[in-house]
Amino acid sequence: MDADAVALIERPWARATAVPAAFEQLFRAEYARVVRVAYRVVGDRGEAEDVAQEVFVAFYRAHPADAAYAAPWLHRAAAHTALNVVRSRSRRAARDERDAAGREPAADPEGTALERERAREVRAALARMPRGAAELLALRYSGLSYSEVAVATGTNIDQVGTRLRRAHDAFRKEVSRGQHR
Amino acid sequence: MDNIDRNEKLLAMPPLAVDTERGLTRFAASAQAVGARPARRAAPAFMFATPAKWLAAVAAVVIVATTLTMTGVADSILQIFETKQFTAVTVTPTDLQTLGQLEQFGTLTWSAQPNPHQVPSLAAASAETGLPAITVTVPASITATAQYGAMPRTTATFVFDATKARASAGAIGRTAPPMPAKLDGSTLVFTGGPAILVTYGTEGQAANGGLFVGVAMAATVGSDGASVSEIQAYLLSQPSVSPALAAQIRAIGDPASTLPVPIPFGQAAANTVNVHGTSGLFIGDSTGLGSGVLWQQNGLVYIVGGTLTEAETLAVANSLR
Repeated sequence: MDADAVALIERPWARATAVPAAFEQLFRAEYARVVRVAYRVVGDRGEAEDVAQEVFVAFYRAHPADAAYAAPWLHRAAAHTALNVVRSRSRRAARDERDAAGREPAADPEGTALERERAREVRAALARMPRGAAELLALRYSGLSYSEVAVATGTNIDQVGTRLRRAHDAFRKEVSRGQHR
Repeated sequence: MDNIDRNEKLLAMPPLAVDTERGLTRFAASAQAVGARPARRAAPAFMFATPAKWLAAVAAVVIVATTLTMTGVADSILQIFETKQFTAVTVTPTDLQTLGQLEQFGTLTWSAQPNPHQVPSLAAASAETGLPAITVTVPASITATAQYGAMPRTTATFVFDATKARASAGAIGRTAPPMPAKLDGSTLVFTGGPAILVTYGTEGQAANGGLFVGVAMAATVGSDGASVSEIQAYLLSQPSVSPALAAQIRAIGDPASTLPVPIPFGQAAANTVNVHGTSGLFIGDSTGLGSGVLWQQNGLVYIVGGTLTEAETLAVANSLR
């Protein structure tokens, strides 16, 4: 039985656990974007889904589903939590060694070796950069518009372009550093 | 140029199909497994970039609440505010900039500058401030030794000035909303403190576990005429205050006793908790990197925070004697 079939069977039970309708609506509207923000940072589908779950549970516990700030909160929290994941990972030397050898501990089976290497490079650079700049890139490159990035980061929209350029510079520097290690 | 293109390509998001139904099924199961309940009222977010920054920000709230103390108040001053409870309000950087610069609306005068300083022991802090010597059960994860700080009572008055408000707005190319005649020239007297703050681990050591525990006299504000609602209406009508913040503050049921705690937008979560049998405000980062709780009891404001999970923070708070 494939995963979708399992999900179909499980779904009615899951719904019966009474996720309020307003929250279900929010989840449907934002889940894919939250996963993509996290994926842009961690580069692994499974880990990105774990981050998205963590972020939605945190929001569910503390905020009403119809809060005006729900979507930007979720986007920012996804970037923040995903960066926590890669940063804590990069602090673990053993894990770093595995990464350096190109062996992904939670490799995405859909990805090619080249994609995995690119994901590793991006992840390592984002983990080393200033957090605000890394969050900005994660939000923008997961598909958020300038105005969505502005709201999520509490930045004036006029400043998003300048901040993104600076973030690019920092990213470039970290990628270059990674290549010369 | 090649490098630029390469970096753009590195960051470009590969196509990723997301199964929302599967995510929702998993969410429903995990929400049930961890006993999560949906929040019923707006509780804004607070998730700082690092525990150290988080600690610094919470400490800043303590300082705001404890550095303003009333002495020698004229008979005409009526108390219009006393901190009895807390509520979190989400603020944007622009909001903070606006509301953080009270002097753009008038003149702030310190009768006695705030003077927080280190003291050798808890007994010394207690003797100096007249506050109870607070002790807590320190979690095993906190290994640093305690340092003690004391802050004596200080005083500040603030006089609204319509001319100054117009000039401040003009300086940044804006037109300020007119200051009500009743507000122009009226005086506020801020009070708070004294305070004791016990810290375990400095900001730089926070990664290894930090904890702080504080107690202060509840902050109050006195006024010689303007009411809380009049002041609030004027400050919230400033064009740089976001409609979202204005709505949150207007929604506070009891503005004469509820201290809005500013929480930077989109960075964490706040919710009401029970501490020592009373209602407190818990502010925490969902990752468990940092959290804190504020509550008021018998005219004293308490704060406990650190690089702790919600459960740990509440355990420390409830162990306070």
